[in-house]
Amino acid sequence: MEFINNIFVNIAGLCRAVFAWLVGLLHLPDVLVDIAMVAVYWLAIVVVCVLCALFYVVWERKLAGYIQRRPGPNRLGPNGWLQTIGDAIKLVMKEDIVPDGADKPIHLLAALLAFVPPMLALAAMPFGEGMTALDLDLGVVYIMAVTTLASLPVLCAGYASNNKYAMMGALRVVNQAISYEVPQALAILSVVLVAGTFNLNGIIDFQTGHVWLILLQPVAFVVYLISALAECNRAPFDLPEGESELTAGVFTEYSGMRYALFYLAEYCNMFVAAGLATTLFLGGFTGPFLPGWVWFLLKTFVIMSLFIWVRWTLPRIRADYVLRFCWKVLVPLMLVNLLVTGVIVYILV
Amino acid sequence: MLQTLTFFALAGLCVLFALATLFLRNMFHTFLAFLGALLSIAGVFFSLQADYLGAVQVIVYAGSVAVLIVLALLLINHQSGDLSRTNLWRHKWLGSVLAALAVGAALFGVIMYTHVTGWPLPGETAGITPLPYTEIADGLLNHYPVAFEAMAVLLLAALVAAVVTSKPDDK
Repeated sequence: MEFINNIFVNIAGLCRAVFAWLVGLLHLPDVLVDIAMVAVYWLAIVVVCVLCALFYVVWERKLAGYIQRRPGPNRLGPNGWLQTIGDAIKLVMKEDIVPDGADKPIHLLAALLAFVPPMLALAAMPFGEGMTALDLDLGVVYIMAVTTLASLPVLCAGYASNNKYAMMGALRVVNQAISYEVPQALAILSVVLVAGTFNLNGIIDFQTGHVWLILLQPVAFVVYLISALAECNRAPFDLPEGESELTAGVFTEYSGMRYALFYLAEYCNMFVAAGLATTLFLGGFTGPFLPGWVWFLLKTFVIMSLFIWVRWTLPRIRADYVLRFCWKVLVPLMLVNLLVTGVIVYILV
Repeated sequence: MLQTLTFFALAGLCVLFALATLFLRNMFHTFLAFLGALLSIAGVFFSLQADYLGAVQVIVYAGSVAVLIVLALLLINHQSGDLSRTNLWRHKWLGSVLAALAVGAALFGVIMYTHVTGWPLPGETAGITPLPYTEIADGLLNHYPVAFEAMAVLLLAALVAAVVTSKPDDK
Protein backbone atom coordinates (compact mmCIF):
# COMPACT_ATOMS: atom_id res chain seq x y z
CA MET A 1 0.00 0.00 0.00
CA GLU A 2 2.60 2.47 1.14
CA PHE A 3 4.75 1.31 -1.76
CA ILE A 4 2.07 1.95 -4.36
CA ASN A 5 1.31 5.34 -2.80
CA ASN A 6 4.93 6.40 -3.16
CA ILE A 7 5.72 4.57 -6.39
CA PHE A 8 6.31 7.72 -8.47
CA VAL A 9 8.24 9.44 -5.69
CA ASN A 10 10.47 6.35 -5.50
CA ILE A 11 10.99 6.32 -9.26
CA ALA A 12 12.02 10.00 -9.12
CA GLY A 13 14.39 9.21 -6.23
CA LEU A 14 15.89 6.34 -8.22
CA CYS A 15 16.42 8.62 -11.25
CA ARG A 16 18.13 11.20 -9.05
CA ALA A 17 20.40 8.53 -7.52
CA VAL A 18 21.37 7.24 -10.98
CA PHE A 19 22.13 10.76 -12.22
CA ALA A 20 24.15 11.53 -9.08
CA TRP A 21 26.14 8.33 -9.62
CA LEU A 22 26.79 9.19 -13.28
CA VAL A 23 27.82 12.76 -12.44
CA GLY A 24 30.16 11.47 -9.73
CA LEU A 25 31.62 8.92 -12.14
CA LEU A 26 32.35 11.52 -14.82
CA HIS A 27 33.42 14.33 -12.40
CA LEU A 28 30.82 16.77 -13.68
CA PRO A 29 29.34 19.71 -11.72
CA ASP A 30 26.44 18.79 -9.39
CA VAL A 31 24.12 21.27 -11.10
CA LEU A 32 23.72 18.74 -13.90
CA VAL A 33 21.79 16.42 -11.58
CA ASP A 34 19.15 19.12 -11.02
CA ILE A 35 19.02 19.91 -14.74
CA ALA A 36 18.57 16.22 -15.57
CA MET A 37 15.80 15.94 -12.97
CA VAL A 38 14.03 18.91 -14.57
CA ALA A 39 14.15 16.98 -17.84
CA VAL A 40 12.68 13.91 -16.12
CA TYR A 41 9.82 15.91 -14.55
CA TRP A 42 9.19 17.60 -17.89
CA LEU A 43 9.00 14.23 -19.64
CA ALA A 44 6.61 12.93 -16.99
CA ILE A 45 4.36 15.98 -17.45
CA VAL A 46 4.36 15.57 -21.24
CA VAL A 47 3.37 11.91 -20.85
CA VAL A 48 0.58 12.80 -18.39
CA CYS A 49 -0.64 15.56 -20.73
CA VAL A 50 -0.78 13.33 -23.80
CA LEU A 51 -2.27 10.30 -22.03
CA CYS A 52 -5.00 12.42 -20.45
CA ALA A 53 -5.84 14.05 -23.73
CA LEU A 54 -5.98 10.70 -25.54
CA PHE A 55 -8.17 9.17 -22.84
CA TYR A 56 -10.57 12.07 -22.46
CA VAL A 57 -11.13 12.47 -26.20
CA VAL A 58 -12.46 8.93 -26.43
CA TRP A 59 -14.27 9.19 -23.08
CA GLU A 60 -16.06 12.32 -24.28
CA ARG A 61 -17.25 10.52 -27.40
CA LYS A 62 -18.37 7.51 -25.36
CA LEU A 63 -20.23 9.61 -22.81
CA ALA A 64 -21.80 11.72 -25.56
CA GLY A 65 -22.98 8.44 -27.06
CA TYR A 66 -24.59 7.33 -23.79
CA ILE A 67 -26.22 10.75 -23.34
CA GLN A 68 -27.66 10.68 -26.86
CA ARG A 69 -28.66 6.98 -26.66
CA ARG A 70 -26.31 5.78 -29.40
CA PRO A 71 -23.32 3.41 -29.10
CA GLY A 72 -20.53 5.95 -29.75
CA PRO A 73 -17.20 4.69 -31.08
CA ASN A 74 -17.17 0.88 -30.76
CA ARG A 75 -15.00 -0.49 -33.57
CA LEU A 76 -11.32 0.01 -32.85
CA GLY A 77 -9.89 -2.01 -29.97
CA PRO A 78 -11.90 -3.39 -27.05
CA ASN A 79 -15.30 -1.67 -27.23
CA GLY A 80 -13.82 1.22 -29.21
CA TRP A 81 -11.38 2.42 -26.56
CA LEU A 82 -8.50 2.72 -29.02
CA GLN A 83 -10.42 5.09 -31.28
CA THR A 84 -8.33 8.19 -30.43
CA ILE A 85 -5.09 6.45 -31.33
CA GLY A 86 -6.57 5.61 -34.72
CA ASP A 87 -7.74 9.20 -35.13
CA ALA A 88 -4.33 10.54 -34.15
CA ILE A 89 -2.59 8.30 -36.70
CA LYS A 90 -5.08 9.41 -39.35
CA LEU A 91 -4.45 13.09 -38.56
CA VAL A 92 -0.66 12.66 -38.64
CA MET A 93 -0.83 11.02 -42.05
CA LYS A 94 -3.12 13.67 -43.54
CA GLU A 95 -1.79 16.43 -45.75
CA ASP A 96 -0.72 19.48 -43.77
CA ILE A 97 -2.50 22.31 -45.56
CA VAL A 98 -1.28 25.89 -45.03
CA PRO A 99 -3.32 28.57 -46.81
CA ASP A 100 -1.52 30.68 -49.38
CA GLY A 101 -2.10 34.04 -47.71
CA ALA A 102 -1.33 32.76 -44.24
CA ASP A 103 1.44 34.11 -42.04
CA LYS A 104 3.30 30.80 -42.30
CA PRO A 105 5.77 30.96 -39.37
CA ILE A 106 3.07 32.11 -36.95
CA HIS A 107 0.61 29.55 -38.33
CA LEU A 108 3.09 26.85 -37.28
CA LEU A 109 4.16 28.57 -34.05
CA ALA A 110 0.56 28.80 -32.81
CA ALA A 111 0.06 25.04 -33.08
CA LEU A 112 3.38 24.33 -31.36
CA LEU A 113 2.75 26.78 -28.51
CA ALA A 114 -0.74 25.50 -27.76
CA PHE A 115 0.66 22.82 -25.45
CA VAL A 116 2.96 25.10 -23.47
CA PRO A 117 0.53 26.77 -21.00
CA PRO A 118 -1.12 23.53 -19.79
CA MET A 119 2.30 21.90 -19.41
CA LEU A 120 3.60 24.84 -17.39
CA ALA A 121 0.50 24.69 -15.20
CA LEU A 122 0.80 20.94 -14.61
CA ALA A 123 4.34 21.51 -13.30
CA ALA A 124 2.85 23.01 -10.12
CA MET A 125 -0.07 20.57 -9.81
CA PRO A 126 0.02 18.28 -6.74
CA PHE A 127 -0.72 14.87 -8.27
CA GLY A 128 -0.10 13.06 -4.99
CA GLU A 129 1.82 13.18 -1.78
CA GLY A 130 5.23 14.64 -2.61
CA MET A 131 4.36 14.53 -6.30
CA THR A 132 4.58 18.25 -7.09
CA ALA A 133 7.32 18.97 -9.59
CA LEU A 134 7.42 22.63 -8.58
CA ASP A 135 6.11 23.22 -5.05
CA LEU A 136 5.81 27.02 -5.06
CA ASP A 137 4.65 29.17 -2.16
CA LEU A 138 2.56 31.03 -4.70
CA GLY A 139 1.36 27.91 -6.55
CA VAL A 140 -2.17 29.24 -7.05
CA VAL A 141 -0.96 32.55 -8.48
CA TYR A 142 1.53 30.73 -10.71
CA ILE A 143 -1.14 28.45 -12.20
CA MET A 144 -3.45 31.44 -12.74
CA ALA A 145 -0.61 33.29 -14.47
CA VAL A 146 0.30 30.52 -16.89
CA THR A 147 -3.30 29.60 -17.72
CA THR A 148 -3.81 33.26 -18.71
CA LEU A 149 -1.40 32.60 -21.56
CA ALA A 150 -3.58 29.82 -23.00
CA SER A 151 -5.54 32.27 -25.16
CA LEU A 152 -2.42 33.59 -26.90
CA PRO A 153 -1.72 30.62 -29.21
CA VAL A 154 -5.36 30.71 -30.27
CA LEU A 155 -5.07 34.43 -30.98
CA CYS A 156 -1.96 33.75 -33.08
CA ALA A 157 -3.83 31.01 -34.94
CA GLY A 158 -6.71 33.34 -35.69
CA TYR A 159 -4.44 36.06 -37.00
CA ALA A 160 -2.10 33.81 -38.97
CA SER A 161 -4.89 31.98 -40.80
CA ASN A 162 -5.78 35.11 -42.80
CA ASN A 163 -9.43 34.16 -42.70
CA LYS A 164 -12.30 36.26 -41.42
CA TYR A 165 -13.94 33.40 -39.54
CA ALA A 166 -10.68 32.57 -37.81
CA MET A 167 -10.19 36.23 -36.93
CA MET A 168 -13.68 36.53 -35.46
CA GLY A 169 -13.12 33.34 -33.48
CA ALA A 170 -9.79 34.60 -32.14
CA LEU A 171 -11.33 37.89 -31.02
CA ARG A 172 -14.07 35.95 -29.24
CA VAL A 173 -11.51 33.72 -27.51
CA VAL A 174 -9.68 36.72 -26.14
CA ASN A 175 -12.85 38.53 -25.08
CA GLN A 176 -14.09 35.48 -23.27
CA ALA A 177 -10.78 34.56 -21.66
CA ILE A 178 -10.11 38.04 -20.32
CA SER A 179 -13.66 38.47 -19.01
CA TYR A 180 -13.99 35.11 -17.28
CA GLU A 181 -10.57 35.42 -15.69
CA VAL A 182 -12.06 37.98 -13.30
CA PRO A 183 -14.75 35.81 -11.64
CA GLN A 184 -12.38 32.85 -11.70
CA ALA A 185 -9.68 34.81 -9.89
CA LEU A 186 -12.23 36.06 -7.35
CA ALA A 187 -13.49 32.50 -6.75
CA ILE A 188 -9.94 31.27 -6.19
CA LEU A 189 -9.28 34.23 -3.92
CA SER A 190 -12.26 33.27 -1.72
CA VAL A 191 -10.72 29.82 -1.28
CA VAL A 192 -7.32 31.31 -0.51
CA LEU A 193 -8.91 33.62 2.05
CA VAL A 194 -10.43 30.65 3.90
CA ALA A 195 -7.35 28.43 3.67
CA GLY A 196 -4.96 31.29 4.45
CA THR A 197 -2.28 30.20 1.98
CA PHE A 198 -1.39 30.38 -1.72
CA ASN A 199 0.46 27.07 -1.60
CA LEU A 200 -1.52 24.25 -3.22
CA ASN A 201 -0.23 21.65 -0.78
CA GLY A 202 -1.08 24.06 2.06
CA ILE A 203 -4.66 24.31 0.79
CA ILE A 204 -4.88 20.50 0.70
CA ASP A 205 -3.51 20.33 4.25
CA PHE A 206 -6.17 22.81 5.37
CA GLN A 207 -8.87 20.60 3.84
CA THR A 208 -7.50 17.47 5.54
CA GLY A 209 -7.55 19.31 8.85
CA HIS A 210 -11.03 20.80 8.41
CA VAL A 211 -13.53 19.98 5.66
CA TRP A 212 -13.45 20.08 1.89
CA LEU A 213 -13.67 23.68 0.73
CA ILE A 214 -16.62 22.85 -1.54
CA LEU A 215 -18.70 22.80 1.67
CA LEU A 216 -17.40 26.19 2.84
CA GLN A 217 -17.38 27.85 -0.61
CA PRO A 218 -20.15 26.22 -2.69
CA VAL A 219 -20.86 29.41 -4.67
CA ALA A 220 -17.20 29.87 -5.50
CA PHE A 221 -17.05 26.25 -6.67
CA VAL A 222 -19.94 26.68 -9.11
CA VAL A 223 -18.59 30.00 -10.40
CA TYR A 224 -15.13 28.46 -10.79
CA LEU A 225 -16.55 25.62 -12.89
CA ILE A 226 -18.53 28.02 -15.11
CA SER A 227 -15.46 30.23 -15.63
CA ALA A 228 -13.31 27.19 -16.35
CA LEU A 229 -15.74 26.09 -19.05
CA ALA A 230 -15.59 29.55 -20.60
CA GLU A 231 -11.79 29.72 -20.40
CA CYS A 232 -11.42 26.35 -22.08
CA ASN A 233 -13.90 27.46 -24.78
CA ARG A 234 -16.15 24.52 -24.03
CA ALA A 235 -19.88 24.36 -24.77
CA PRO A 236 -22.08 26.21 -23.84
CA PHE A 237 -19.31 28.80 -24.27
CA ASP A 238 -17.74 27.37 -27.45
CA LEU A 239 -18.45 30.48 -29.51
CA PRO A 240 -14.85 30.73 -30.82
CA GLU A 241 -15.49 27.64 -32.92
CA GLY A 242 -19.25 27.90 -33.22
CA GLU A 243 -19.73 25.90 -36.40
CA SER A 244 -23.20 27.29 -37.09
CA GLU A 245 -21.86 30.82 -37.58
CA LEU A 246 -18.06 30.64 -37.98
CA THR A 247 -17.47 27.36 -39.90
CA ALA A 248 -14.89 26.11 -37.40
CA GLY A 249 -13.86 29.45 -35.96
CA VAL A 250 -10.20 29.75 -35.09
CA PHE A 251 -9.40 26.29 -36.43
CA THR A 252 -10.97 26.78 -39.88
CA GLU A 253 -7.60 26.82 -41.66
CA TYR A 254 -5.99 24.10 -39.58
CA SER A 255 -5.81 20.50 -40.69
CA GLY A 256 -3.87 17.33 -40.07
CA MET A 257 -1.29 17.32 -37.30
CA ARG A 258 -1.64 21.02 -36.48
CA TYR A 259 -5.36 20.63 -35.86
CA ALA A 260 -4.68 17.57 -33.71
CA LEU A 261 -2.30 19.61 -31.54
CA PHE A 262 -4.97 22.22 -30.86
CA TYR A 263 -7.54 19.53 -30.22
CA LEU A 264 -5.33 17.76 -27.68
CA ALA A 265 -4.32 21.05 -26.05
CA GLU A 266 -8.00 21.80 -25.43
CA TYR A 267 -8.30 18.61 -23.39
CA CYS A 268 -5.07 19.36 -21.55
CA ASN A 269 -6.43 22.79 -20.61
CA MET A 270 -9.58 21.13 -19.33
CA PHE A 271 -7.50 18.66 -17.33
CA VAL A 272 -5.61 21.55 -15.72
CA ALA A 273 -8.89 23.28 -14.84
CA ALA A 274 -10.31 20.04 -13.41
CA GLY A 275 -7.11 19.36 -11.48
CA LEU A 276 -7.17 22.83 -9.96
CA ALA A 277 -10.84 22.39 -8.99
CA THR A 278 -9.95 19.08 -7.35
CA THR A 279 -7.08 20.64 -5.43
CA LEU A 280 -8.92 23.78 -4.35
CA PHE A 281 -12.37 22.40 -3.57
CA LEU A 282 -12.34 18.61 -3.34
CA GLY A 283 -9.43 17.93 -1.00
CA GLY A 284 -6.88 17.22 -3.73
CA PHE A 285 -5.16 13.85 -3.57
CA THR A 286 -6.41 12.92 -0.08
CA GLY A 287 -8.84 10.06 0.49
CA PRO A 288 -9.13 6.71 2.24
CA PHE A 289 -7.97 3.24 1.10
CA LEU A 290 -6.62 4.15 -2.35
CA PRO A 291 -3.23 5.76 -3.13
CA GLY A 292 -3.18 9.56 -3.37
CA TRP A 293 -2.56 9.82 -7.11
CA VAL A 294 -5.47 7.44 -7.79
CA TRP A 295 -7.74 9.75 -5.76
CA PHE A 296 -6.48 12.75 -7.72
CA LEU A 297 -7.20 11.03 -11.03
CA LEU A 298 -10.63 9.86 -9.83
CA LYS A 299 -11.70 13.33 -8.68
CA THR A 300 -10.47 15.01 -11.87
CA PHE A 301 -12.30 12.27 -13.81
CA VAL A 302 -15.56 13.23 -12.07
CA ILE A 303 -15.07 16.95 -12.87
CA MET A 304 -14.09 16.22 -16.47
CA SER A 305 -17.19 14.06 -16.87
CA LEU A 306 -19.22 16.98 -15.49
CA PHE A 307 -17.70 19.25 -18.17
CA ILE A 308 -18.60 16.72 -20.85
CA TRP A 309 -22.11 16.26 -19.42
CA VAL A 310 -22.68 20.04 -19.56
CA ARG A 311 -21.43 20.18 -23.15
CA TRP A 312 -23.88 17.58 -24.40
CA THR A 313 -26.80 18.98 -22.42
CA LEU A 314 -26.81 22.75 -22.92
CA PRO A 315 -27.07 24.64 -26.24
CA ARG A 316 -24.58 27.33 -27.21
CA ILE A 317 -25.16 30.82 -25.79
CA ARG A 318 -25.17 33.97 -27.92
CA ALA A 319 -21.91 35.97 -27.88
CA ASP A 320 -23.19 39.08 -26.09
CA TYR A 321 -25.05 37.00 -23.48
CA VAL A 322 -21.82 35.22 -22.62
CA LEU A 323 -20.08 38.48 -21.69
CA ARG A 324 -23.18 39.98 -20.09
CA PHE A 325 -23.56 36.94 -17.84
CA CYS A 326 -19.93 37.29 -16.78
CA TRP A 327 -19.88 40.99 -15.97
CA LYS A 328 -23.41 41.46 -14.69
CA VAL A 329 -23.95 38.22 -12.76
CA LEU A 330 -20.76 36.35 -11.95
CA VAL A 331 -18.49 39.28 -11.06
CA PRO A 332 -20.92 41.00 -8.64
CA LEU A 333 -21.81 37.61 -7.15
CA MET A 334 -18.17 36.78 -6.51
CA LEU A 335 -17.47 40.24 -5.08
CA VAL A 336 -20.29 39.76 -2.56
CA ASN A 337 -19.04 36.24 -1.85
CA LEU A 338 -15.54 37.59 -1.25
CA LEU A 339 -16.85 40.31 1.06
CA VAL A 340 -18.94 37.87 3.12
CA THR A 341 -16.05 35.40 3.29
CA GLY A 342 -13.69 38.17 4.38
CA VAL A 343 -16.02 39.35 7.15
CA ILE A 344 -16.59 35.81 8.46
CA VAL A 345 -12.88 34.97 8.37
CA TYR A 346 -12.12 38.29 10.14
CA ILE A 347 -14.65 37.51 12.91
CA LEU A 348 -13.64 33.88 13.40
CA VAL A 349 -9.85 34.12 13.13
CA MET B 1 27.45 31.72 -11.38
CA LEU B 2 24.35 29.97 -12.70
CA GLN B 3 22.23 32.95 -11.70
CA THR B 4 24.46 35.40 -13.53
CA LEU B 5 24.33 33.23 -16.64
CA THR B 6 20.52 33.01 -16.44
CA PHE B 7 20.30 36.75 -15.99
CA PHE B 8 22.42 37.56 -19.00
CA ALA B 9 20.61 34.98 -21.15
CA LEU B 10 17.22 36.45 -20.21
CA ALA B 11 18.43 40.05 -20.47
CA GLY B 12 19.89 39.38 -23.92
CA LEU B 13 16.63 37.77 -24.99
CA CYS B 14 14.70 40.75 -23.67
CA VAL B 15 16.86 43.24 -25.58
CA LEU B 16 16.53 41.18 -28.75
CA PHE B 17 12.76 41.08 -28.43
CA ALA B 18 12.64 44.80 -27.67
CA LEU B 19 14.68 45.57 -30.79
CA ALA B 20 12.40 43.30 -32.80
CA THR B 21 9.43 45.22 -31.42
CA LEU B 22 10.96 48.40 -32.80
CA PHE B 23 12.15 47.19 -36.18
CA LEU B 24 9.57 44.65 -37.36
CA ARG B 25 7.10 46.09 -39.84
CA ASN B 26 4.10 43.80 -39.36
CA MET B 27 1.87 44.81 -36.47
CA PHE B 28 1.21 41.31 -35.20
CA HIS B 29 4.89 40.37 -35.32
CA THR B 30 5.63 43.49 -33.31
CA PHE B 31 3.04 42.39 -30.78
CA LEU B 32 4.60 38.94 -30.46
CA ALA B 33 8.06 40.43 -29.98
CA PHE B 34 6.67 42.81 -27.35
CA LEU B 35 5.10 39.83 -25.59
CA GLY B 36 8.42 38.00 -25.68
CA ALA B 37 10.13 41.00 -24.07
CA LEU B 38 7.50 41.11 -21.28
CA LEU B 39 7.81 37.37 -20.65
CA SER B 40 11.61 37.50 -20.50
CA ILE B 41 11.32 40.27 -17.90
CA ALA B 42 9.03 37.93 -15.93
CA GLY B 43 11.77 35.33 -16.29
CA VAL B 44 14.29 37.79 -14.82
CA PHE B 45 11.97 38.31 -11.84
CA PHE B 46 11.65 34.55 -11.33
CA SER B 47 15.41 34.07 -11.53
CA LEU B 48 15.82 36.74 -8.83
CA GLN B 49 13.36 34.73 -6.68
CA ALA B 50 10.78 37.51 -6.85
CA ASP B 51 8.05 34.96 -7.61
CA TYR B 52 5.16 37.26 -6.83
CA LEU B 53 6.41 40.01 -9.12
CA GLY B 54 7.07 37.46 -11.86
CA ALA B 55 3.57 36.02 -11.63
CA VAL B 56 2.03 39.50 -11.63
CA GLN B 57 4.13 40.43 -14.66
CA VAL B 58 2.73 37.42 -16.51
CA ILE B 59 -0.89 37.92 -15.43
CA VAL B 60 -1.12 41.68 -15.87
CA TYR B 61 1.26 42.49 -18.70
CA ALA B 62 1.62 39.38 -20.84
CA GLY B 63 -1.86 38.03 -20.12
CA SER B 64 -4.00 41.13 -20.16
CA VAL B 65 -2.37 44.40 -21.20
CA ALA B 66 -0.60 43.00 -24.26
CA VAL B 67 -3.70 41.11 -25.35
CA LEU B 68 -5.88 44.20 -24.94
CA ILE B 69 -3.42 46.22 -27.02
CA VAL B 70 -3.45 43.72 -29.86
CA LEU B 71 -7.22 43.43 -29.65
CA ALA B 72 -7.55 47.19 -30.06
CA LEU B 73 -5.04 47.19 -32.92
CA LEU B 74 -6.77 44.38 -34.77
CA LEU B 75 -10.18 45.96 -34.35
CA ILE B 76 -8.92 49.32 -35.63
CA ASN B 77 -6.76 48.15 -38.49
CA HIS B 78 -7.49 44.54 -39.22
CA GLN B 79 -4.49 42.63 -40.63
CA SER B 80 -3.19 45.28 -43.03
CA GLY B 81 -1.12 46.51 -40.12
CA ASP B 82 1.95 47.88 -41.85
CA LEU B 83 3.46 50.06 -39.17
CA SER B 84 5.39 52.24 -41.63
CA ARG B 85 2.01 53.62 -42.76
CA THR B 86 0.17 53.82 -39.46
CA ASN B 87 2.95 55.31 -37.35
CA LEU B 88 2.01 58.97 -36.80
CA TRP B 89 5.51 59.91 -35.64
CA ARG B 90 7.25 58.70 -38.77
CA HIS B 91 8.10 62.15 -40.15
CA LYS B 92 8.68 63.91 -36.84
CA TRP B 93 12.14 62.47 -36.35
CA LEU B 94 13.50 65.35 -34.24
CA GLY B 95 10.77 64.90 -31.61
CA SER B 96 11.25 61.12 -31.69
CA VAL B 97 14.99 61.41 -31.11
CA LEU B 98 14.47 63.87 -28.25
CA ALA B 99 11.85 61.64 -26.63
CA ALA B 100 14.12 58.59 -26.98
CA LEU B 101 17.03 60.53 -25.41
CA ALA B 102 14.84 61.70 -22.52
CA VAL B 103 13.60 58.18 -21.76
CA GLY B 104 17.13 56.82 -22.11
CA ALA B 105 18.49 59.43 -19.69
CA ALA B 106 15.75 58.66 -17.18
CA LEU B 107 16.49 54.92 -17.36
CA PHE B 108 20.22 55.54 -17.05
CA GLY B 109 19.54 57.67 -13.97
CA VAL B 110 17.46 54.90 -12.39
CA ILE B 111 20.18 52.31 -13.08
CA MET B 112 22.86 54.60 -11.63
CA TYR B 113 20.66 55.21 -8.59
CA THR B 114 20.95 51.52 -7.65
CA HIS B 115 24.60 52.23 -6.82
CA VAL B 116 23.51 54.89 -4.33
CA THR B 117 20.92 52.64 -2.66
CA GLY B 118 23.25 49.66 -2.59
CA TRP B 119 20.58 47.30 -3.87
CA PRO B 120 22.03 43.91 -4.77
CA LEU B 121 22.65 43.35 -8.46
CA PRO B 122 22.09 40.03 -10.25
CA GLY B 123 24.76 37.62 -9.11
CA GLU B 124 25.09 39.28 -5.70
CA THR B 125 21.74 38.00 -4.43
CA ALA B 126 23.02 34.56 -3.40
CA GLY B 127 22.73 34.96 0.37
CA ILE B 128 19.56 37.05 0.37
CA THR B 129 16.25 35.42 1.24
CA PRO B 130 13.39 36.68 -0.90
CA LEU B 131 10.70 38.83 0.67
CA PRO B 132 7.65 36.68 1.48
CA TYR B 133 4.48 37.84 -0.26
CA THR B 134 2.79 38.43 3.11
CA GLU B 135 5.30 41.25 3.62
CA ILE B 136 4.22 42.80 0.33
CA ALA B 137 0.56 42.70 1.39
CA ASP B 138 1.45 44.10 4.80
CA GLY B 139 3.45 46.91 3.25
CA LEU B 140 0.75 47.85 0.76
CA LEU B 141 -2.20 47.79 3.14
CA ASN B 142 -0.65 48.77 6.50
CA HIS B 143 2.34 50.99 5.75
CA TYR B 144 1.44 52.69 2.48
CA PRO B 145 -2.38 52.66 2.35
CA VAL B 146 -2.57 56.20 0.94
CA ALA B 147 -0.36 55.41 -2.03
CA PHE B 148 -2.31 52.20 -2.60
CA GLU B 149 -5.66 54.00 -2.53
CA ALA B 150 -4.33 56.81 -4.73
CA MET B 151 -3.38 54.16 -7.28
CA ALA B 152 -6.90 52.72 -7.11
CA VAL B 153 -8.42 56.19 -7.66
CA LEU B 154 -6.09 56.76 -10.62
CA LEU B 155 -7.19 53.49 -12.21
CA LEU B 156 -10.83 54.37 -11.62
CA ALA B 157 -10.30 57.78 -13.23
CA ALA B 158 -8.68 56.07 -16.24
CA LEU B 159 -11.64 53.70 -16.50
CA VAL B 160 -14.17 56.56 -16.38
CA ALA B 161 -12.10 58.52 -18.92
CA ALA B 162 -12.10 55.50 -21.24
CA VAL B 163 -15.87 55.22 -21.00
CA VAL B 164 -16.35 58.95 -21.62
CA THR B 165 -13.98 59.14 -24.59
CA SER B 166 -15.35 56.02 -26.26
CA LYS B 167 -18.98 57.14 -25.87
CA PRO B 168 -20.43 58.28 -29.20
CA ASP B 169 -21.43 61.95 -29.42
CA ASP B 170 -25.19 62.18 -28.95
CA LYS B 171 -25.71 65.57 -30.50
